[in-house]
Amino acid sequence: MKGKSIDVAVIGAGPAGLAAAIKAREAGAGNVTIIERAEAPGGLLFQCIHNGFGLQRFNEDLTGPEYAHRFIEKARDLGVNLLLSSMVLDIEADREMVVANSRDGLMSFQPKAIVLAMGCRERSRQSLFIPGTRPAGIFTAGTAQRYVNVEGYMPGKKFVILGSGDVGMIMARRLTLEGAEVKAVVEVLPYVGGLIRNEVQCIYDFDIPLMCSHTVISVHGQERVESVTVAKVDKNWQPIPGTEWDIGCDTLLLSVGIVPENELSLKAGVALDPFIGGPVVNENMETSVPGIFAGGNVVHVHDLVDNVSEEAEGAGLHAAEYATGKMRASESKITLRAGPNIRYIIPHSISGESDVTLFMRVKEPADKVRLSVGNIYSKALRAVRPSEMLKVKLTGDELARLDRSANELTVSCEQKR
Amino acid sequence: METQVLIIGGGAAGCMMARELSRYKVDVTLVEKRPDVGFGVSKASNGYLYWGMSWNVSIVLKSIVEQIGGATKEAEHKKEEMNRRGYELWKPLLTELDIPHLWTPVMQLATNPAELRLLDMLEKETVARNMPYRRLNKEEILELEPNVTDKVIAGLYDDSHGWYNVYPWEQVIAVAENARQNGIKFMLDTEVIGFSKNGGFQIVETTRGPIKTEFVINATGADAVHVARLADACDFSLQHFKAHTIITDKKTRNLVNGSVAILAGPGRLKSVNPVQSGNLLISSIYTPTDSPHDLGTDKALMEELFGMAQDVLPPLSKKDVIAYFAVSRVYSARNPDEYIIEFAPKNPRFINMVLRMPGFIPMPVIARNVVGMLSDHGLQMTKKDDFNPYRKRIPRFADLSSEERSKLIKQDPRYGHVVCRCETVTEGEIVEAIRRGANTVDGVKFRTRAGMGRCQAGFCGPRVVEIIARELNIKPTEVTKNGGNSWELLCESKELLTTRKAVLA
Repeated sequence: MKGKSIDVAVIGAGPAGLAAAIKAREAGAGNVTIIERAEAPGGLLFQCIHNGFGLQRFNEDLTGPEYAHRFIEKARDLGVNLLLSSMVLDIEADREMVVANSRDGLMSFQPKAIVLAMGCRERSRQSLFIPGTRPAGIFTAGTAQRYVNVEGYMPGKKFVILGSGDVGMIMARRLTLEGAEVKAVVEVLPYVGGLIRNEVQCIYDFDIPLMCSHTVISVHGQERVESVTVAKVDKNWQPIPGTEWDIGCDTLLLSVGIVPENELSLKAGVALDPFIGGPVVNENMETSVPGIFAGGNVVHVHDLVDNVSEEAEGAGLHAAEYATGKMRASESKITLRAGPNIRYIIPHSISGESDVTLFMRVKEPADKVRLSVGNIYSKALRAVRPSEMLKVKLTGDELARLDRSANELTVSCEQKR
Repeated sequence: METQVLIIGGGAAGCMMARELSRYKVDVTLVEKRPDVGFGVSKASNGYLYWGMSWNVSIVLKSIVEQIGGATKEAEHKKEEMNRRGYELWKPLLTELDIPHLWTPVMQLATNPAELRLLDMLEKETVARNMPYRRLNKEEILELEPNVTDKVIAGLYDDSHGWYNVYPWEQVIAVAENARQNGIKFMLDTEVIGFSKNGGFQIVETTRGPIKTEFVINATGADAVHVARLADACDFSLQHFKAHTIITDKKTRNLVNGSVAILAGPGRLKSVNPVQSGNLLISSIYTPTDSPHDLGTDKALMEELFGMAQDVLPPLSKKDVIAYFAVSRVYSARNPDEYIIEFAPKNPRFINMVLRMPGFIPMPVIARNVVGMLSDHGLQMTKKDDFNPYRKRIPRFADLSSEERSKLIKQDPRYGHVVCRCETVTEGEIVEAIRRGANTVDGVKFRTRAGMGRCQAGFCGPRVVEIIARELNIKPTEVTKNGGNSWELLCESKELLTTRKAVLA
C-alpha cells in the first residue's frame, strides 16, 4: 500500500515527542503527526505526579502532568496532529510506516522525515540474574508508580527497593506517603544512583534505610514474595559470604537502570551505539538513516526532563528542515571521543560549523575536576557524578579555536592537580 | 457428582489422556488443583518433538540417571519405541490442533577429545538405529553455522528428519481446548484431598466436594507420590531433579540456523535452540533436589549455564537474557529409564501415569495404551461419531500479513489495540484468551505471549490486570499471577492510610 504523505512523523507523545513536534511546526513543517500508543499524550510524565519538573526551562517547580500539559496545549495550538492509541508496527528503509489502531485499522504513512521519540524502558529482574523463586510481587519501580498514581492500587504493603535510581527513590517516598512500609533501599554501588536532590528529599527526609554496597542475592516465596536475602558486596559487586540476612517483605521493586527503547529504530535500519543502546546521532540529531532523527531518552537516558525537551527540539527542528528541503548540508566529520572519566557524549559527531550542545556523563564521581573538549573548551567543576548529566554549549568562540583538519575531539574530565 | 473416569492433573499427561478419552462415549472429568491447565511442570519444560539422529538428551540423561541407579535394556527399548511412534503421531496433531511450531535442523558438536568420544558414541548409536545424519568437519560446520565456536573439531548433522520446536504449554492448552470441545469436564482450582471406596466405586474427596467415579487416572506428575499415597495406591517413589533454563532476546535468533549442542558430560548438555517465538532457549544443567516444588534458581548455576551456551555460541551476551527459570524433572527411583503406566497393586481401577523426560513426545502413544488398559478392565469404550479432532488457535496478530491484520481489526476493533508492545499482542487476543479460560496473568501470558518479551510485562502488566478484571467482572485486587495467594495487587491506594488512621484513633 502507498502511504499517506506527511511532512514529519514523530513516534511517541512523551516529553521528547511533544517538544520535537512543536519545534517542527514552528520551523515550518506543514503536516506534523505524533503517533502515540497510549490513550493520552504525556508519556511517563503522566504518572510522575511529584514536583521538580521545569526548574531550568520555566523557572518553576511543576509536577510531571503540569509540565506535559504546557507542551500538549502548545502542540494543539500549533495544529500538531495527535494519533492516540496507535502503534507503529513497522518502519521501512524508505521511511514508510505501518500504524495500527482500533478506529482506523491498519494505516500507512510516508513521512518526509521521522523523529524517533519512543523513550526508554526499565531493566527487569532478568537482566540482573537475581536468583530464587518467581512469585508475584516483583515489579519495576515505574510499573509500581503507574499502579499507585494512575490506576489507584497498591502493588504491596512492605517493600524492599533494589537500586537507587531516581524512580526507585521517588517511589520510596511515594509508598511511604501512601502508608506502606519501605524496609530498605538497597544499592550495589557505594553511592546512590540517582540525583542528590532525590537522595535528600526522598530518602533522608523520610528516614528510609539506605544500604549502599549491598544487593539482593535471592528472592523467596512460592505464590507471593515473602522475603529477600540481602548481602554486602565487595568492590567488584560480589556478595561477601557471611554478610547475608533476610528481610521480610511482600514486594520487591527494581530500580536498576533504564535502557533506550529502540526496537523500531532497528526495524528502520538505524545504527545503534552498542554501549548506550540508542541511535548514533550527529549534531542535527540525525541517525545513520537520512531523514530519521531522534531525541530524548530514546537516544540516551536523561535525568532532567528539561534536557529531554531541549535535545528533542533539535531533532524536531532538523526534521522539519529536512522535510522542507531547507537543511543545510553540513558534514559531521569530527567524531567526539570519550576520554578519561567520560562515559559517553551525545551527539557522536559534530561539523564544527554550527553551535552545538553536548550532553555527557562521567563514569565515576569525582571532586575538583576540569572538564575539557579538546583544546577548545575547558571549565573547572567542583564535583561530578554519573547520575548528573553534564551539558556543554560550543558556540562561535570555541568553534573558532577548532583545528579544521582534525577529525576527532576528545572530551575528558580530569582531576585538577 | 459422578463420573466414569476421573483424571487427576491437568498437565501434559492428564490433558492428552482427556483428549484421547473424548473420542469415546465415556463420561470423563479432569480435576486440577491450579487455576489453569499446564501450570505445573509443563509450563517450564523444553518443548521439542524429535526422534532423529541424536535423540540428543539420551546420552546426557543416561549419564545422570546412571548416577541414580540401574536402568534396564527393556525399559530403555520400550521408551525408545514409544518415542518413535509418538513423534509420528504428533506430526498430524500439530496441524489438527493448530499448534505453532518451528522445524529446524539439529547439529551436535565436539570441541575437545572428551566431547569427541561422546560424539563418536552418538554416531554409533545413530547408525545402529538407522537414523539419517551427516558427519561434518570444521569447515562444513562453520559454513552451516558461522557463529558457533571456532574451537569445533567435528559434528553430526541432521537436516532431513527434523526437530519440531513447540511450546509445551501451547501443546497442553491446545489439547485441553480440544478435549473440552469434545465434552470432557474440566474442574480447575480443585485439589484432591482424600479417597474412599464405596462398593464398586471410588469416592475422590476434593476441595470442591466428593466425586464418585469408576476409574481414577493419577496424572499429577511431580506430585504423583502424594496423590497415590492418599489413595493407598503407591508402590513407587520418584527422584527429583531440576534443570535451569535461560531464554534470550529475539534479536539473538539469527545467530543460529538450527539447534546446536555440545554433549559435554553427565547432566550437562550445552544446548542452544531456536524456538518458534524467535527467541533462543538455552538448556540445561541438571541438579538433584528433594522437592518437586523447589524451583528456585541459583546464580552460580545460571552463570555456569550461560557460560556453557557461550562455549557453543560465543557472540551471546548476558545483556540478551530476558528470562530464566528452573524446571522440575522426575525419574522413577526403581528404574530411571521407565515410564510408570500401571494399575496400582491394591486397586485395579487406579492407574498411575508418571512420565519421565521426554514426556511430551510419547504422550499420544501412552494415552492410547491407557485407553486399552481401561477397556481391558471393563470400561465400555464406544467411539463417538461426532468427535472433532480440530481446534483453532487464537489469531496471533504479530504473525499475520497486513491483509489479515486489516480484516481482523474490521471484524473486531480490539485487534487494533496493541497491549504488549514487545510481543505485539493485541487486546483482541487477550480477551479471546480469557474467553477460552485464562483467568490469571500467567494464563493470559501462556495463551498470547503478553509479557513474555524483553520488558517482561513492565509495560503491559497493569493493562493485562485491568482487562482480566474487566472481562471476569472482578476487582483488580482479585487478579492473581497464577492462582492461590499470588495476588498482583494488595489493596487500593489510600487504603493503608485509612487503616493507619483507624489504628491511631
